[in-house]
Amino acid sequence: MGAIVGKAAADSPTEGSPGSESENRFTDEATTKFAGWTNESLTRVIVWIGGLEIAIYLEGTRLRERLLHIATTGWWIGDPDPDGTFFLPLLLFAPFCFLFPLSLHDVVRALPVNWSTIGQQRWLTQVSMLLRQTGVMVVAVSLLSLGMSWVTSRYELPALPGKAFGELGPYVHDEFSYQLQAETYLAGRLSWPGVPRARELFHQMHVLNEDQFASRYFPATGAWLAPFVACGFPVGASWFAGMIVTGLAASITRRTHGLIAGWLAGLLVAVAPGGAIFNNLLLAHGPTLVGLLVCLFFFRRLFDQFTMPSALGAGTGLTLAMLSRPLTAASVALPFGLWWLANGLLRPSAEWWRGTLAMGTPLLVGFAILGWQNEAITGNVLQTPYSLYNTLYTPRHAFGFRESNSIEVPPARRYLRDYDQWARLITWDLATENLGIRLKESLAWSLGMIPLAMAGLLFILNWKQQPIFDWLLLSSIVSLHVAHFPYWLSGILGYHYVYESGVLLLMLFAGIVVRMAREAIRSERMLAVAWMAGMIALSVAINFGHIAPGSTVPRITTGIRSVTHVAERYERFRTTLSTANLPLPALVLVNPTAADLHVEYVHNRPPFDSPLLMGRYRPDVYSDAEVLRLFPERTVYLYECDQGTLRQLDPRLSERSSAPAVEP
Amino acid sequence: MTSMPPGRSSRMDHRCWLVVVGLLLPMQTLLLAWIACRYAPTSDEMAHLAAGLRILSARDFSVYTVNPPLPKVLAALPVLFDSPQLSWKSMDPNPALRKEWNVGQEFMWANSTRTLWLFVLARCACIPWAWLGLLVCFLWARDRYGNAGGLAAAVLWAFSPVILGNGALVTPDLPAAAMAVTVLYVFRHYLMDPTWKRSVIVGVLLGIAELTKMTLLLLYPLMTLLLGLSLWWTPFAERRVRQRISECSVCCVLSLLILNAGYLFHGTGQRLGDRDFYSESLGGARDDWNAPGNRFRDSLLSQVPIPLPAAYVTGIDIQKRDFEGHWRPMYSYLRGHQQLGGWWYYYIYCLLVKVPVGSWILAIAALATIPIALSTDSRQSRREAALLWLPPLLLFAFISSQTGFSRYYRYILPAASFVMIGLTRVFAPAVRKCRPWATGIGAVGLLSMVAASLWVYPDSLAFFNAPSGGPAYGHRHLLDSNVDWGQDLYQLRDWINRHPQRRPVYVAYSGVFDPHVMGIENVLSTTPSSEDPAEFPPGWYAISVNHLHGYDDPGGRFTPFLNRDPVDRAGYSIFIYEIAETSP
Repeated sequence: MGAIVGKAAADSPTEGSPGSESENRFTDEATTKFAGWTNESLTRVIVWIGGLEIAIYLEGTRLRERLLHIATTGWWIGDPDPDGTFFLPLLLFAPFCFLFPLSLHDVVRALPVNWSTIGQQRWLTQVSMLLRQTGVMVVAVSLLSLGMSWVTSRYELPALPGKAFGELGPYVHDEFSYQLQAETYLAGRLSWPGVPRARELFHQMHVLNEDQFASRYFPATGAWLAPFVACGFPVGASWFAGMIVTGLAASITRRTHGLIAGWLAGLLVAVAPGGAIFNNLLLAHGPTLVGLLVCLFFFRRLFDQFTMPSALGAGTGLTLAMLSRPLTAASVALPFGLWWLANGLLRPSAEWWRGTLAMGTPLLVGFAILGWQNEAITGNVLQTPYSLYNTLYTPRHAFGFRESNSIEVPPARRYLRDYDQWARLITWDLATENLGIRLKESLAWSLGMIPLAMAGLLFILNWKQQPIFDWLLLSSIVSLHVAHFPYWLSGILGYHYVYESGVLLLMLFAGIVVRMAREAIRSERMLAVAWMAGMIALSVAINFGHIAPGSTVPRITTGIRSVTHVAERYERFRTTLSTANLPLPALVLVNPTAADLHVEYVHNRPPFDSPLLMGRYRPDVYSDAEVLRLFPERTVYLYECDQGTLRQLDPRLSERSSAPAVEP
Repeated sequence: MTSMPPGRSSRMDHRCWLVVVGLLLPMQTLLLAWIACRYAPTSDEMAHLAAGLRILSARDFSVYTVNPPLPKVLAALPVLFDSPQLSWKSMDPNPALRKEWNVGQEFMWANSTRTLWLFVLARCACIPWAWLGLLVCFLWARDRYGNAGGLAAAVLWAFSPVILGNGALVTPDLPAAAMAVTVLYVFRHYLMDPTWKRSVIVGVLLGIAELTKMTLLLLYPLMTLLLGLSLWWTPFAERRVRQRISECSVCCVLSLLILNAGYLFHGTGQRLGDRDFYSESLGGARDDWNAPGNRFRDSLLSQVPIPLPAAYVTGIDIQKRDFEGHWRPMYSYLRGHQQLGGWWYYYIYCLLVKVPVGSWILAIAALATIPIALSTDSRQSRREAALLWLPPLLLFAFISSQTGFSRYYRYILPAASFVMIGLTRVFAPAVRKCRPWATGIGAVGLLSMVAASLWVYPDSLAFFNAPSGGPAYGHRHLLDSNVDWGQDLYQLRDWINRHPQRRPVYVAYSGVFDPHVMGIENVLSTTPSSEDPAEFPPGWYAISVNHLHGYDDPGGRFTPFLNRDPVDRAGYSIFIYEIAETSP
């Protein structure tokens, strides 16, 4: 483990210092080169051209579309491209800002206040000391994350004026399944007994509806949600996860790049628009990211010094992530695992073996938990409910390249035909297209496409100067994208399968920006610092604010609109039911339209004895008469989604016909 | 000449360069790029782009011969990469016919709304001409008046409404202005320190300049005059007349070579007697002006080979014919008066109403510095002043003398850059020292020019200064490309979109672009057709100011609207009138 400890000196700055000695040496060299035309200058020119090209492409595409479709460009900031329109002018002025000499001394001298007097103020010194504390940083950025989650939950739903985003959820059908899982655990169970009657009417998205009725998802998310569901505030689980993730991201970046980078990473993660939205959804990303960042946090400590608690912590974090989103956890951890393995092979030591054991033990416990859940729900230790659900209900939604004739169509009773048919067979072209979409959207929803793309390009062009830990972070991002390559759907907001990469990107970005800012200050290019600050501020403003009121839509609003596009239908359904004053007990069968693919009207709580049950209208399986006969104690209604109408099924039907259901 | 004026240091030079290249250049680029997106294709642009595409796709220079190929070819390059639909059904082999507008319309119909985007691409390719002008103005003024002068000249160029209005269009006016000042800037260096190398550079640049606009043929006599003056001012022992003449001959030959290369040497060396001419000057007097003639056919000159490309000679001939009035009636308009034939003072009047007040203030401040110049300037400096002021004066005088028609303020654009450079003498160190108030007034003028220009932006093409009533009253003074070149069709589209309740909208548009392509219906023609309503039924009338004044069509159909008050306008070139329902 000597290599690990030795490397730590190069990678990790000492507590409270802006950077390590080697980093300072690097920046000094860069400073002396800054003024001349060096490789460094060439790198910057390439990065600038790269950013400019993206901006020109996006802006050109926007204007082209406007001219082709409405035969006018309209006013410049009308319906702007959030990643192109406002960045283009900023990028055009970048060379000036990066080349015009202006020292920090010049700036301080130009200020209307006497800085030296202010600097001696006691309160300022105390505040300054306070802000240098890692703990203060972690708490501050975590609270900011909480604040952003709350603010986002108060955003008005575009389709339902007066209703807030946080008021009406869940929206995504996955959320209902996670909620069911949490409630199942709260009931002291891993699953429920199967539906007693007419099981086919009660299929729920992502819920295994066989002899056992259970969420198909991996157990950690339900466990994470459970305490908050018990308190009646389920979304609090995601808020809480967001806080931990933000604090950990700041802490890890601080350890690699110094205090300012830590602050910046924390602030950026807290105000990431994608994060703010996903922190208000009941999905697996919260616990997955918590687990992954715990793992990275302890792994980062292992870079500095090997300790058993660090190894155990890394393994525990990875286990939590693995029990939430296994593929994500595996792909993010893979580069770190390979690096660990390479260290062990090259320099085997007792420390390495102890560390491996410490990391592996929690993983083994995790696998045991998974096996236990598998056994309880599917009856097979090695068969996950997730894969069984896919096989039984939505075979086309499977992962990997396959031929269409290799997909076995399940019996119609189980088969969720519309949802299954929605899936496209993955081809190389589609996978490549999705890869591009996920990459683009992950940049956009984390901060902004251009700042992150430019930082990424700079990172790669300056590859020799990047710390190993950052290389491993970048490899994790690549690995995560590659792992999801053979899946046919890009995801919620175009990227949710690689959502976790956003936080890692922001950590890298903070490191790069702070390093560049230090170089700029030392080479008397204060305008470059202002430019970088301006780009970040512009990105945040575009994400959360109206740059031009009446013309621009904040990115977060676009995201909320996308995620909650079903809210209007839910609300109509709820209103129809509440105003119908149904005689209870009742069963409401829902006949969805093709547009209701992602609307989950049917979500019942076992043991299916509540006064009002929701069911799917499946005339292909149960005729109306059959349904009426199966539920004699309930009045049965049919909700037609296309018209938003509710009508009672004629009870006389059950007397007239006793024809058995059609078995395809 | 090459000595650094007072007030310049390498550190300041570096910073000034950064301000010009890092701030002013991007600012002007943004301003021009948005104009490129915001103006509908103007009348001449349709022809230029089609001609450029014709050259690139068929190596045929016979479309729009009155303008040399370089600006249009460069503009057409990005368009060609976007794979446009090309159609040449309206091509006619008769060189006397001005077929460029028909070809342009054919291009428009073939590409429909896509034409709009293709024009954006073409215009963006023209922006580097403006960069060139800006950089040369900066360099020349910096050489003369120090960094402050250089910066002021760059600001004048970057924000001048006439540069902004024409800089993003697919027309040769701004390329010609930029090349004129570039050639003479390099020629100035040559005159100050003549070398073979510099003469070669001048020759190459002169050839490129000749490929932008035929007006720049004036550069040959102008440069000869400047060379003569330079020799006259040089002490006899240092003149080396034979060497100068040799260098300048090489320069001329090189420029001709470049000019011919620009036309791929098509028709170079044709005998004078073998050509067909259509102008009276070259073709001789005849009854049918559409029939060719040649006054040299039976003369001694008939065997002389012309060292110019055939299309270039045709262009000169056709341009001459147009000025002679043998093409079609070319009306000139000034202050509400329309006539066949122009006025010698037309361009002076244009300057009075089109130049921003700030520029006039700057000019007055510059005039106030003349006594300083007379008392303090060295002989060298006075020579340079002559070098700077002679070109615009001669260009202006020549263009004003062409009174066959007086229509386009943009014709004097090549003179503008020299004036801009000359005016910045108020920022010269000597003036700052002896007449600081003049520098102050100049700075105020400069800033107010920028403010006035940005106030009207992006309608810079229709800029008129405040004393003339501003752009809204511009049509009372001038018409055509000075205010209405068909550029405001997008604004009309926006107006129609913004006012869905104001229907029906009838449109009388004076541009060449067809409004139907943009989904604008009810387009009225200048002569009522069977489909048009007989009179003006109730509705909203969007009428180009050219039509309001019956431009090129005295007493035209829409002139009665001039007596009504418009309810709104689209840009400054389309006025909107309401004709309300009258109760029976």
